[in-house]
Amino acid sequence: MTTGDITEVIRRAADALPAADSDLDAVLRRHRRNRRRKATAALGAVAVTAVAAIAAIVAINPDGTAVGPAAQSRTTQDLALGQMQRLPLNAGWALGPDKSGGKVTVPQVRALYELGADRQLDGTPVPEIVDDVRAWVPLDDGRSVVLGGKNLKPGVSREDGPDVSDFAIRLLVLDAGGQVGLQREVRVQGQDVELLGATATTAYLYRTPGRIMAHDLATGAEQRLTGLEPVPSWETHSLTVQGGLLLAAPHASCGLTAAALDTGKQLFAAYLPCAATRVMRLSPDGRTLAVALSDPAGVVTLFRIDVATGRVGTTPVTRGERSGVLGVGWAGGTVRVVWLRLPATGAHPLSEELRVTDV
Amino acid sequence: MTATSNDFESFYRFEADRLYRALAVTLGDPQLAREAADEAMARAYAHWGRVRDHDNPGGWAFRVGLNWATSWWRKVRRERPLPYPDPDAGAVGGVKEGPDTHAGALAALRRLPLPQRAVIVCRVLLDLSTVETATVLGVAEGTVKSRMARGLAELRQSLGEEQG
Repeated sequence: MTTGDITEVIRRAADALPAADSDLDAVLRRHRRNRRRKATAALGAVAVTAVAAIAAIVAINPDGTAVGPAAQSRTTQDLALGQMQRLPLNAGWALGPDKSGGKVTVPQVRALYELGADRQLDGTPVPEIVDDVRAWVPLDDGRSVVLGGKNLKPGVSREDGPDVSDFAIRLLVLDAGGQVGLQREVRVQGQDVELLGATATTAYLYRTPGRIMAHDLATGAEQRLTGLEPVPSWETHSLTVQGGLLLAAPHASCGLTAAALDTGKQLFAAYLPCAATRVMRLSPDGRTLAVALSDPAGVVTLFRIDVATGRVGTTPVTRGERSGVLGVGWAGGTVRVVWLRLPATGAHPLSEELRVTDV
Repeated sequence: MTATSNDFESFYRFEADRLYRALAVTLGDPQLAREAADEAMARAYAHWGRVRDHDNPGGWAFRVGLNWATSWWRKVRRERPLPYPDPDAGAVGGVKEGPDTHAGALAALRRLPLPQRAVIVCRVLLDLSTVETATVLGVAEGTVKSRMARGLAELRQSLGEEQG
């Protein structure tokens, strides 16, 4: 192909993209919103503290259901059920408007959501010592490991990037009541860091460029895991650590690979349908990986992958209604899939739209 | 409507669609690109007195939109749902699959590192010169040339394999 051919292909591909579906009014509304946000930024820093304090006591759903710190009920009810894994919900994708105009809402944005053993939505407020949550991992003992960023000089303009000054990246361990049991600065200037997974004793951190570190939660000591190098780049893959496995899903394809963290040995490579949303959970015995995904037609399907052989079993979860997957967890040999019926126009509370299917 | 807003409206009508498509190709995510384009246009409106005197207001908006979308610092706060695929569309980013394998071309572009993709988009879709591209992206002219050459070589191989 000549250079001219390539540029022509690029131009035609760009022209074939769907239209932006935006207009000048939307831009002007955005401008006004930005202006208001700037004007209220200073006040917000004060107000958000007060709101968080109230939210820590109780948050109320629009339907009147109390959504408070999840832990009080979690420790009694979940343990009473035996092996039910905690079931974090990835609801972020659902908060923006769907193409139909419908969207779901949550009682508060600054919260970690999961499905309680009673099949109700539980939320744990995010502590103010971080501005945002990059990743969080629920532990079976009721604690949560959280990685979040904190701007130490809000309102002060600085050069953005890994070298940005006065910015902290904090690793937190929240106790079963949602209180901060441990906080540790894990940022290294000039590097980025992500939380890939955690156990009761160890957080697995990805540090640029291309290293996975076992971070001892008790001492903060870090050990580089060299058995699995080179590590796939986090810029081109979604990376998760569960049960001693590194699960890597390249952004550019629909594949999924699993490799042992300690030896680097690849255990399987699976090719699943391309998904709009996908969640994965390893069984407590480490033998089976449950992958729930919603396909381009909005149909949720559960795949069970045998870790030893890579054999894939398929079970449809929804049929014919547009839906998206929120979370997946194990209860013994049963997989619990939490999914969302994509709402028609208007705003709908997540608590009303989520559905639970045991497979 | 004031002279300023008329002026901006002309700029918007001329540049908005091109900006969105350039960002969509660069970011590989049409929904994020739409947000980034709107944000860049909103900032252009807020600073229109200065932006309109810029050598290349369209390039300025592209840079602002790209920075907004890829900001290391703010990326998590802006984390958004994946674009929900249109069931009637092809597999890649809601692009209609056509006989010219548009989706394949976009997929090949997405496999390039972001800096190479940004250079190619500036040169091909925004019709910027090497010097203008260097200014917009804040890199040296030599860097633009080498990224362009490497990116085109990769694309030539990817698209050639696809055709073959």
